[in-house]
Order: sequence, then C-alpha cells, then structure tokens
Amino acid sequence: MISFSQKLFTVPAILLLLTGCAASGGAAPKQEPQVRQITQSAHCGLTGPGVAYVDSTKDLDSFLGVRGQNMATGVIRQVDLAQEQLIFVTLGQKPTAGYSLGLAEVGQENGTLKLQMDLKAPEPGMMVAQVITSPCVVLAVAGGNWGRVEVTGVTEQPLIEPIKR
Amino acid sequence: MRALIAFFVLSPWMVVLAGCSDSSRSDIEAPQGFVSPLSGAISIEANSRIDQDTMDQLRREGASPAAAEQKLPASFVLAGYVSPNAGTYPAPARACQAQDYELDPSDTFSVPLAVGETVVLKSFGTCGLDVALELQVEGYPPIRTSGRDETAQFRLNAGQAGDYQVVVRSVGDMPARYVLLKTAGTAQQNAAYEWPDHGFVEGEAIVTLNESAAASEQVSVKGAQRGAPARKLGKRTWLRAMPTNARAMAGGQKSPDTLAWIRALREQPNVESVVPNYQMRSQSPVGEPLYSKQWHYEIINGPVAWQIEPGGGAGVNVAVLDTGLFRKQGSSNWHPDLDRNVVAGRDFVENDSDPRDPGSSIGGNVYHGTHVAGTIASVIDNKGSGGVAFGANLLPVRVLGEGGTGSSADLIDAIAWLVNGSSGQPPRAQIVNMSLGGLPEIPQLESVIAAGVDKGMLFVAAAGNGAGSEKSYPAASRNVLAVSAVDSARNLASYSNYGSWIDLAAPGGDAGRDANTDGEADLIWSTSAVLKSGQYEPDFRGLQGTSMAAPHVSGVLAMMKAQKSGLNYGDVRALLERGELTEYSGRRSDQLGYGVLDAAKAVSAASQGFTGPVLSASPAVVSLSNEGIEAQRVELNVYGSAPVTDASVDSYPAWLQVNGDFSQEPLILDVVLLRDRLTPDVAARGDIVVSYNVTEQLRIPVIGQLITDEKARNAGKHFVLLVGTEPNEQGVYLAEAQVTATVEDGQYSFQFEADDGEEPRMLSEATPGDYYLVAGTDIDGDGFICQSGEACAEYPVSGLREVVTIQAGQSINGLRMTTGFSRPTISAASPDVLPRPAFKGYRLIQTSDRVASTNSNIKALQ
Repeated sequence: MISFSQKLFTVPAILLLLTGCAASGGAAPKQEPQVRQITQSAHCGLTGPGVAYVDSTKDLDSFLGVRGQNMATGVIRQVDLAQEQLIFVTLGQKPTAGYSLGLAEVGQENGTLKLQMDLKAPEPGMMVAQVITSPCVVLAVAGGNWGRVEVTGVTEQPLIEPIKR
Repeated sequence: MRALIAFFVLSPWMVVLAGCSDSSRSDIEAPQGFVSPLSGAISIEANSRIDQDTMDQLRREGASPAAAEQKLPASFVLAGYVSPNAGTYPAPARACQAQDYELDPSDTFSVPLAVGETVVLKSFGTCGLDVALELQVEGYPPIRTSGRDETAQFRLNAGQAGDYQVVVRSVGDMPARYVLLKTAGTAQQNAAYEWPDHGFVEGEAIVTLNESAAASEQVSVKGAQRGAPARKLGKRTWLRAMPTNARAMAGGQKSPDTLAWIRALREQPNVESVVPNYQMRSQSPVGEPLYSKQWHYEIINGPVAWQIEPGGGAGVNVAVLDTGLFRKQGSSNWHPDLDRNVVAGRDFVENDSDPRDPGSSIGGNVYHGTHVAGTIASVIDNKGSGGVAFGANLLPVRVLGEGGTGSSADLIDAIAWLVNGSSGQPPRAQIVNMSLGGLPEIPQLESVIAAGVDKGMLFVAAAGNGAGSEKSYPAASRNVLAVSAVDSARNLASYSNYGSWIDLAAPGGDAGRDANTDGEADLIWSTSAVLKSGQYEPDFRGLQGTSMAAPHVSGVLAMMKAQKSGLNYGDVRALLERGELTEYSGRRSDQLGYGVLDAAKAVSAASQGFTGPVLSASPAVVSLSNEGIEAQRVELNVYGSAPVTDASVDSYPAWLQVNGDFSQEPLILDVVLLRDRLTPDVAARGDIVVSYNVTEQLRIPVIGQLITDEKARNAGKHFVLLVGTEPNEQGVYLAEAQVTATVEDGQYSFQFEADDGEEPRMLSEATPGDYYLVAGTDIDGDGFICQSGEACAEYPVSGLREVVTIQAGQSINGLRMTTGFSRPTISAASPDVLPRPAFKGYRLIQTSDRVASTNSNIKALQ
C-alpha cells in the first residue's frame, strides 16, 4: 500500500517543478470550472497526502482497487468521465478516527484550478476510536481552463498537481 | 419409545391404546350409535397461559384489542400476539396462509415481581420473518428483543416486590407471535421454543443393535443395508450409509430421505436405536473460514486456550464501549457473525436503547465497534470468523458517534450504567472493552471505573495510536489495562503508543508490514460491513490500530472470568506482574509492558493458579417441583491440589431434606423436596450451605415449587388435526380433518366424526386412513398451527409422532397428549427426537376448502 501511494503522489510532486514554470503566462479564454463533491471516506487506503486526477476507467480502477478502501464506489463509477473528471484529495494515514476532508471553495486563476479544502480533525483531548484511518474526498470537475490543480488546507504547503487534459 | 411407555403408564384410565402402527385390534371398540372414530383429551404443560387478545379473539366480528390488564400468576409461560396494523399475510409463503390479521399494538399484563426475578420475552415474528418487540416493565425503560433468538430480559435488581405492569409492544411493521415467561426454575427458561434443526450427514446413520442381534451377525441391519458400507464404531454400533435404492425411492429429496430411512430402520426388530450422524460444528475459531488470515490468533496462543476453555467465555458479559454494532438496514438482526452473542445494550450518544451503528453521514464507514466486537466474540458457525471469547455475550454500548468521536460525559455515563449502582446490584458486564482514547485524566472517569473495579469488573483500553509516550486515557488509568499493539513479528507497531503506563501488548496489525511473510499486510481481520449496490452489507475486513489489540485482551479476560468468576482486578494485576498472562521475558518494557498476551497461559492461570481446594456443585443450581423432579443427587467436585477437610452441611431451607455422604470424592448431597412445607404456586428459594476447610463455604441455590395450577392452565383455542403422513412438495403437512377445542378445567377434549358419505364433507369428518394426530394454536391467525410461539401437541409425544390408523366402523377413544409452548430438544435424555429441517407447522384447512361442521357436539373451524 505504501509503495502504491508513493508512486502516485511523490512522482507528481517532482513533475510539479517542471510544469510549474511552463504553466505560467497562459492566456486562454476565461471559463469557470464546475466542481462538485462526490463522496468522502475515512478509509481510502491511500497512505500519503496528495492529489490525483483521474480521467480514465483504467486509472479509476487502480484507485478503487486499493486494498482496505471503503469508499462509496457506486457513486464514483456513476460519473461519466467524458463529461466530468475526478480529483482524489487524500489526507494520508491518520492515527485515529475523527478526521475528514470536504470541499470548501473553488477558484481558477492563471490556468490553475484552486481547491480550498475543509479539514476536520479531532480536538486535542477528544475521545476517539483508536483505529488507523486514511481519509480522502472525491471531487468531479467539468469545464474550466486550467492545466494544474492547487489544493490548500490539507498540508502546510499547497499540494500542486500538473494536469494533462 | 421410552417416553411413549411412560406416557401410557401415567394414563391408566385410557380405554384404548390403539392408533400406532402395531395393529392390536382387540382394543378397538365396536361402534354403537354415534361413535367418534377418534377422540381424546389434551393436557397442558404447567404454567401455560394465553394472551387475552390473540387472533382467535380479534377475528370475531366487532372485536377490538383488550384494554384491560391481564393478571398473571407468579410463574407463567404465556403465548401472545401483537401487531402494529391490520393487513393480510404475504402469500404465497411456506409458513403462512394469505389470511387477514388484525391490529393489536400492545399487550398489558400485571406480573408479580420480586427482587432478583426475571421476565423474558421471546419474539417469533411471523411468516418466517423476524420481528422485534419491546418489553417494558413499569418504571423502567423499554428493552428491545435482540439476538438470534429475538429475546429481551428484564431483571428486577432493586425496588419493592409487588405487582408490576408489564407491556409487550410491537415496534416493527408486521405482526408477531411471542412467548413471555417468568419461571422459578431454569428448565422452562432454558427450554427450546423452536423445532430442532441440527445439521446431519446426508445418507448416514448411527445404528445400535440389541444384544442378541449383535451376537447373531447383525442380520436385520445387514439385510436392510443390502451391502451398503458400514464402519464399526463400538461393540454393537455401526455407522451405516444409506443404500442407493432407498435414495432413489425418495426422488432426490435428501433430508427427508435420510430421516425416512432412519425411521424405517427403527422399525427393524433387532435395532435398539438409530440416530442421524449429526454434524460436528467447529468448536473454536480455528475451524472458521477466515482463520487462515487471522495470524493474530496464533500470536496470542489462541488454539491452546480454546482447548482449556472450550466454552469460549460463555456466560460472561463483555461490554463494547464503541460506535455500536452494524445492523443491515431493514433487518432486525445484528451482523450475522455477532447476532447470537449480542445481548441488550444502550446508546449513550442518542440516549436510547438501540446501540446500532448508524454509519457515517459523510461517506465510507468501517463499523469500528462491529470490528472490535467481532474480535472479542463473533460466533462459531462455520462462517466468517470466530472471536477470542466466541461464547461470551456482547453487550454493545454506543459512546462514539459521528466519525468515531465521542464525549467523556457519555463515556462516564456509560460506565456508570454498566457498574449499575453503588452496591448490592451486580454489574451489567464483567469485562469492559474501550478501543478508544485520547482523553486527559478526568477525576469522574477515574472514580466511576474504580467503582466498577470494586464490583469485580475488569477494564481494558487501547493505548492509542500516537506513536508517542504521552499518557492517553482511559488506558493510562491505574484501574485499566493499557494495551499497546504489535505486528505479526511481535514488534511494537509503528503507530502504537508506549511508555511506563503500558500494561501488556496484543496484536493490532501494521498495514505497512508483512512480518510473517505470508504475502498479506499484517491487518486484524474481523466483522464489518461494506457498501454493495448502494447498501451496506455485513462483511469482514482488516484494520489496524491499538483499537484492534485491546479486544484480544478483553476476550482472554472473558475466558478467564468463565473459568473463575470471582477473578478481580487485583488477581489480574498479580497474575500480570508474575508474567502469567503474557509471553514474559522477565523484564517489563515500555513498549510491551509485561509482554505480548498469551491466552493459553492466562486461561490456565485462571483455572489452575489456585491451590484450592475449591468445592463445585453439579448441578450448580437445584430446581425441584412436584411436576418435575422431586429429588436430586448433587455431586460436589473438588478442585485444586489441597485436600478437603471438615466438610459439613451448615444449613438448608426447611422445605428440603438433605443427606450428605462426604466419605469419598466426589462428595454427595441427596436433596429431596418436602412438598407439604411449600406455599402452593409460589417459588421458594434458598441455599444449601456447605462449609469446608474451616473458612470456606459453598452455597448451592435451590428452587422449590408446588405447582397446583392444573385447572388454571390455558394454552389458547386448539385446532386438533388429522394430517397426512407425508408432506406435499412444499414440505407442508396438510390437514384432512379438523376440530377445535377450548380449554375446560385446564385441559382440552376433542372428537372427530365419522364420514357419513354426504357432500359437502364437514371439516370434522374423518375418513379411514393413516394420519398423524396433532393439535395446536394459531394465535396469529395465519392458517398454520404449531409454529414457534404457538402451542403444539403431537400424539403420543411431541417430537415423536406416530401414525394413527382409522378403520371404517371402528373407534379409537381416550387418546391423550400434552400441549405446550416449548419444543422437544435433541439431548441425551431424548435421543429419538429427529431434526425437522425447515418444519414450519401444520396447515389448517381453509374455510373455503370445505364447509364447517354444524354438529353442536363438535366445534369446527370458525
């Protein structure tokens, strides 16, 4: 499971350095992206924090095939990937229950899709189930004119994923 | 057959004993004028009562549910009917006819209750469906039926003795038959109320020949077998396989086929007994399908422990303070691998008596409490997995709500509820598992746990997954065992907390490791639920955390408690620190405390760690009555290596005669009931006190009853049927003739009429032929009698029906049988009773099928 998530999330982090420069100065016509939240789960089986863009059934299968995940796969599969694409935002492995991710705000700026996430974590001193969790949220996005995704609110530094659409 | 003989001896007034397949026709009377071809009487089991508004009453025109309280005696077994609405039973169904049913939302009773007495409600649902009911005793919150038996129990722990209002309420959306019982002895409470349905090997039987036949080369069985293979099991006993011609004759219907062949073998003259080759069920988690994934049970030495404690902690209540338990939407049962062990719990998040886990509102849920509960006590049923203490009772207490979080106030409330008062009253659970943490030290939490420890309760908590040494409560509490987590190589899991406050370690899994190189991540496998087609279904999954480690310890403590009920926290602490509960290196460590849990060492420490001597009575409780046994021999077995000295009977109730023989082991007590010293129909209770070794005492509880309610017994309106001896294609036995009988002076009389040849034939007219004679109630009005929760009698003895042959112009009188709500069990005392796979009762003749009798002597179907 660890090796899977590392492959998924560390490789794009390196690419970001390359694509970050290339993406600047895009002057495409303004088009507002539509983003909706499909589902979230405390057990996505993805152990590293990250963001992933999915636009093919094959990629989707590899996400939903992760051992130990407990996502509502039915509603995810209902998304027509020709009309909308999926973005998985994962919080990574957490020591207890009580963590969750939700979509707070959506914006688009200079060819970047900006997703502000709402992270819930147990208050210090709160009583929680002592089970290891791996929370994530699944979003569907349509339209917009962007070439990368920037996710804030999950980690201290924004998570940035270059996207080939 | 033994039961049949006893029965005849008890009925000396009986005119005729005919009706069985032996044709001793000299007993048959010649007809004179109007003579019934078949008549007799049905007596009723002790304490039987009937709800005043079953469908028998409600079907009458203008009838409405009874408003008045029904007064019940001190001991009773009452059958009743409730329904939240009026409607029609679903049809077609094998277990009910498409008849109308009426509204009867609740039944109210007045029940005399004293402290320590228990009222039990068992719901049987209807049409083969489970339906939950509520039991409410005046002044107490309602208790919902739960578990595989849909049972709810109320015990009056404190308060005044007197008449209490008891309400049985419908909470589902279907009618339900139920039995409400309050009995002094254990016999009726433990009686079966459903027909036996044990599994057996198809096409095999265990055959014992009588002495002479065994000596003469087993002619009869060999003849019947036609060379079918056999295996000798004992001197006169063989395991026989059914010959292929017997198989072919039954047209491939396997179960009835095997049972029919066994019945035929029993007719053979030289055969002493024939019983099915009953299937052994796996007796420990080792035989469960998921066991191969459960490396964690090997780590704790589970298989050895289960040999020492084969009951798996039976009789011990383990409270699971967690997210509640999974129940499939629309189902009245818990997760099927837990259901049988679940007892009534409580929800402190919603503050009600329904501790089901509603799942998470925001998405995926792993049903944490269900997973934890499964590690403690999922059932042994050859499906899924088995828990560490697979025989223990699970008491679900919901303290974690949305997202697996909760408040310390709910936790404190929940523990106080489990502790159950300051003194005198027993706690609701002996073991408390808390797979939760993250709290600071809270004085109120400490004091409520201390109160529980004072009552002998044992508390276990997860150390926490912070990978740090900061104290996490409740685990770090001085009265709680703090459990850290290890992987399959017994190394501290990467996430586990550690520190000076850790008491011991147990497997919690580590998804990032495969320390035992079995190709699978080291997860803990247990009960859960997964989303399938938009709905959560019961399933199993692997999780990791100290949450998963703690229940291993709780399960082992339950087995220890089963071995030694008096085991308290001080004993456990002493055993732990002596290294008796763990694989102990001789030095405590901050990672593993006193080491990794060793179930086998722990359970044997509980069972053998005392030099004794300890005296133990068998039976542990003596129950005597004028209708049951009036004299009982009690064996006192000696446990421990030290000898018993100076044993003597100190005291016993005045209504007993007790003689002791302490000259050798086991010590013997002969206990005889003195019935003239008892108040009629009031259960008397007392203890026989045996003292030994100067300071030790053994108290043997005794219950004595003088039952005089013969005339007050009522099991409800009975339908008496002559049914065909073979079921139809759906396995349903059809009635050929039918009369009804109402109770008179505690018994029923019935008689059939001879067929006069005129059409239409009356329901009560019997034609010559072979029949089974059966009787019973149809209290839910679904057109079937003898379903669970309904009275049933079979001639001559329930569970051992025999063919009654009616011949033209002849009369069989004075047949006797006994009706009641309990069902025969297959036991050492009644080995001849056979399982009845899928038997659901006898179907009544529908009124549209035939015309009811107008003969005033005989009441036919209304």
